Amino acid sequence: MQPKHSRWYARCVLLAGLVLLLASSANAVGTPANTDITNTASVTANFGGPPVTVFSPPNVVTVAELIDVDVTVLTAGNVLVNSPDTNQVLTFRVTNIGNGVDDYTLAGLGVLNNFTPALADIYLDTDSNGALNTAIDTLYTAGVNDPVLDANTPGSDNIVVFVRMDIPGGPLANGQLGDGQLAAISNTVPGAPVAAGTVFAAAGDGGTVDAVVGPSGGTDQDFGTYQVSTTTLAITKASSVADPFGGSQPVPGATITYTLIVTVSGSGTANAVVVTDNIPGNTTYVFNSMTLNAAALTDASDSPIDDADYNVTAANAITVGLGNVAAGAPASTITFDVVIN
Amino acid sequence: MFGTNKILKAVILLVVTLVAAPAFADGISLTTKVEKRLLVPSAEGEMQERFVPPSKVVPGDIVAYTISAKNDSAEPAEQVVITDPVPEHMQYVEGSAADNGARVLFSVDGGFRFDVAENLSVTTEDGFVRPATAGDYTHIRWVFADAIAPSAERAVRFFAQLQ
Repeated sequence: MQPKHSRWYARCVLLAGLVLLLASSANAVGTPANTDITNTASVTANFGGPPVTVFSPPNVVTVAELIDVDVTVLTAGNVLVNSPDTNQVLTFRVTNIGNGVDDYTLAGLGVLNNFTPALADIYLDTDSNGALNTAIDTLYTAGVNDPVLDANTPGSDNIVVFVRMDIPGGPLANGQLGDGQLAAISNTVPGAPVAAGTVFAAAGDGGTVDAVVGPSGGTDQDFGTYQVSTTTLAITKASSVADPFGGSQPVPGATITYTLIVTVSGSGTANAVVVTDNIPGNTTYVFNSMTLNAAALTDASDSPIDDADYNVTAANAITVGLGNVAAGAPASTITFDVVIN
Repeated sequence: MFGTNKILKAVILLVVTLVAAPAFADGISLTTKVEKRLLVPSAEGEMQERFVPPSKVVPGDIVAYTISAKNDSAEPAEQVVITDPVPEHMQYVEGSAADNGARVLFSVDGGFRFDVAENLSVTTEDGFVRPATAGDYTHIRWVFADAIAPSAERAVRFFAQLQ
């Protein structure tokens, strides 16, 4: 019976080693494919004498490979584009959420919303920095460099993918939307998606265990949205005259009040808007007559009291900074006075 | 905490095995069977359990372990106790242990102490004591009050979910 004793001993040492090994990979999504799960029960009984203990033969289950994939768009919000436009980037993450090593065919597709973007190309984030650099990152070609992802190794279980699409011209109207989709299809599952639970015999890791399709059906996709964004800056100028006699005749000594109205339409933001207006010939600026939205402005260049001046930023001109103006914000109204010489 | 517990379990197994191995007594034998549990709709649309060979087990699947003790001797087997560790990577499914006339006890400490489920608790990492749940069980034990007659067989069963 010595052999039996030795065998038990050997198995327990093996078990202890296995336990140590498994404790270090506790972060995995699920129990890795090809893991042997051993169960040994014991029974104790007595037959009128001292108790005896007997063990069952070990019962081993080998874990099959779960085929499951997740695609998630990483781009937050809509990507603002022009019309036409080229190589506009949507960023996705493809993750192997099974329990083995699997490889995937990637497919980018423009999807009709208000318009249909056109796929340009797909890049793999080779340097894992989450940002597209076409000089470093790898151009993807289906069947040539399909990503291989190991669900059991944190960091190697996912890859960031950049999908670039072109935006049609027309041009499209401001605010029009178009969707860009990325699909990842497990190369283990021909004809994906298939029903969850579908089994591919001996198609699991190592070619011994079966591959079992998970809830994703062997493929997943997500999409991001492009939004046509045009920002239009407009300015109007009007004048009114007040003569010294209470009328409105443009005679020497009469005051001309100019009113400038600045609006931003479309979508997006006009950054660092600055309005400059030269004082017309044969007139003289009335000191400290500038207003912005009915609030007085000083002639000195004295930001942050106000972002306006006369004859400082530009000679014999008024300059008013409006900062960043979002499309649709209330109009900015600037007035100033001159006297006819 | 996790790792220590598992190593402890392995060491205990080792010790138990070394002590028990010479007592390979004839008289009682033990076999285990594992099957994958499927829920399939019947013709009436009700979900029914089916058990199939466990060749396609993936994380999330539930398997059934059936343990059968057979009295091979001519004497009744008294004070029969069956013990089974919850296998590595498996989690016991709450309430799944079929007793077949036995008291069902659990251990949460690698098989040192066994008690009924309601009496078991675990200490969390931040020092709080909470009632034990199915995920804490390391071993299951069936204690038979009555003897197993010569040539008779008793089977117990539990379900476990692959993590």
